[in-house]
Parts: sequence; structure tokens; C-alpha cells
Amino acid sequence: MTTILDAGVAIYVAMSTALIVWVGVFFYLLRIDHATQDVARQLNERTSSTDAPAPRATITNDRSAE
Amino acid sequence: MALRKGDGLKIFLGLWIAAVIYTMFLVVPQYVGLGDAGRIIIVHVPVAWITSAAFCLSAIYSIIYLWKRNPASDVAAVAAAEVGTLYCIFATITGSIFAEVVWGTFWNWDPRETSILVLLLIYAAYFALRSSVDDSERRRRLAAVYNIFAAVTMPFLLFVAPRVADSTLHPNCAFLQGSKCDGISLSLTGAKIGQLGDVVIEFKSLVKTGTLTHATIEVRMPGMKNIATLVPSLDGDGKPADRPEFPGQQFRMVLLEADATAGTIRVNMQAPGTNLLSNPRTLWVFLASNLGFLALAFWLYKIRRTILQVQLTLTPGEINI
Repeated sequence: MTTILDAGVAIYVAMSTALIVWVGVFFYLLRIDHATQDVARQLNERTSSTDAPAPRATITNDRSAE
Repeated sequence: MALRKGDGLKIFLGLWIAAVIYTMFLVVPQYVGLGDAGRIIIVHVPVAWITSAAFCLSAIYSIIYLWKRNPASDVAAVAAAEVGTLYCIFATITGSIFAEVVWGTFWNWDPRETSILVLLLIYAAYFALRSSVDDSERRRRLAAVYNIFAAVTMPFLLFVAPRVADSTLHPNCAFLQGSKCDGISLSLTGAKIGQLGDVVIEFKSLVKTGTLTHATIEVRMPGMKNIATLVPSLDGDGKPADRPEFPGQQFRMVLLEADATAGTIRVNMQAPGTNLLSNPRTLWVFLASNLGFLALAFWLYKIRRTILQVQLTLTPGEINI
């Protein structure tokens, strides 16, 4: 009976396992990469919007204009 | 998961490493004496040298931090150190699997194994140091100084110590072209006992039969598990003839020089797979693996740096990174 540990089959099993692990790791990394890019972009947008100059007004006690 | 602009290179990297895995198993020829297990070298060696590159990058950013005092440099130093540590763990695991196949044990405190463990502990201490100091400015400053010292020890631990140690089983001589391992000299009238790897050997006799010169050598395996008598020989042209195998291992003993009149010999341990990179297929896959794992390290570094940078922006000084 052929098992996955037979000499002729084992190397394909090992390669398939390594490939499956790599595919899993790759898509996980791609997902994290997208997520971090999103967070970084949103943070930059928020920071740049809070950096906008606040409206200014001058208050004086001068009543001569009234 | 929707793909985005800029994902092309990453998908190319994914396919590249998948191709390296495929060729590593099905295209690269078997190594003499190691069979399929020797294929792990295609991953182990690139991962090991990229470890050192990542630690160097980390130290450079630490120097920049101490110079400019910009927290972004500290973040980059941490990210590079983390990638280096991850690769170092991977190199240790793959090396350990190789050791099991070739030496018959996952871990035997060989100088190479010990030095990489010390390196891992040094960087574990770096992360421990970072998490133990609350004041962010002080934490960054201390960690940067420590990181520079850690990086100074790294070349000694990864490259120098295992090469100067006479007793390493790590196949530097076999796998790195241009490396030179001289073996050890023994004499019937002087030093009869020596050590090759972690094997104690004792020179018993030297006999010349026709054109062949036979040396009789008793070998004692680590822990006295096996004691055997090996008889390597040298032919008339001064080239090694019989190369007996060490008991329970796939290493062979090779007689490099013999002087019957003086009663002296020079013997060495020969790893299977010698000159494996002279095979073009192996060489190209090995180079492709180097490029692939280097690009992967850079990608990991970029992701981790972004995450740490976001943390730093959200809560400056409050997170122990």
C-alpha cells in the first residue's frame, strides 16, 4: 500500500506542504499589509485635517466704532 | 480580498518564492550522501545571512537615532531587529532539521548551534530591555546603545566563532566555496589524540601496503555512544583513497597527508554534498532563494515599521515598542 511517506511520494508531500504553508503566509501578509496601509492613510488624513489653521478673531475693547 | 495598485510586485514575490520551493524539491539534484534532506540548504543559508543583514540595518538605525533623536529611526531599528530575530529562529530550526539528518540529533551544542542560540538570547534581551523601561526617551536611548553592542557581537557569533572553533560540525568547508578547513595533524610519537567535530579520534598506526598508505584511527562518538576503528587511506599520488564513514553519521573521515617515516598524518572530516554549488541548477536556485528571501525580509520590515509608526503616532511615548 502506498503511503505518503514512501520514497517516491514523500518529496511531493513535503513540497505540497511547504507550498500550502507559503500560500497561507503570503495571503496573511498581504492582508496585514493592506490593513496597515489603510490605517496609516486614515491616520495621515486625520492628522492633516487637524493641522489646518484654526479661524482667528481679534477681540478688543475699542468702542469707538459704535 | 481585492487587489490594489502596487500589489503586483508582492504577487510576483509570492510566485517567486513558490517557484523556489518547487525547484528546491523537484529540480535541484539530490546531494551526494544527504539525499533529499540536503535540499534544506537552499533555504537555510539565505535565511541565515539575511539575519545578519537585518541586524546590521537595525544597528544603523540605532546609530541614526542616537545622532538625530528622531523616534522614527528607533521604530525602524525595532522593525529590522524583529525581522532579523524571526529569520534567525527560522535559520535555527532549518539548521536543526539538517543536524538531525546528518548528525543524528536535532541539537548537540555544536559551536555553530551554541553561537546562534547566544545571538538569539542577545536579541531577546534587547526586546526585554525595551519592555522594561517606561520612560520612552530613556527606553529608546538605552535600547539604541544596547543594539549597537549586540550588532558588534553578531559577526563574531555568526561567522567568526564557528569558523575558528576546531570542533564544529557545521559544514563551512563543504558548502562555502573558497572556505578552507585544514583538519588536524596527529603523530605517533607526539599528539595521538585529537578532535574532529565533536568526535574524539586517536591515531593508532600507519602502514604502507603497496601504493596505499593506511592509517588506523579509533573514533569515539559524543557521549561514548559508539567506538569504532576507521582505516582511511592515501593513494600513491597523495590523494585520499578510502574514506570511511563515522559510525551513525553521514560524515566521512579523509586522510589528507601521511608521512610513514615520521609517523604523522593529517585527517579531516568530510561532509556529504561537497561542492554542491558547482551544479548550475543548484547554484541558480540558491541565488533565486537569496533574492526571494531578501525581498520577503524587506516586505516584512516595511509592514512592521508601518504598524509601529502608527502606534507611535496614536500614543506617542505610551507604548513599549
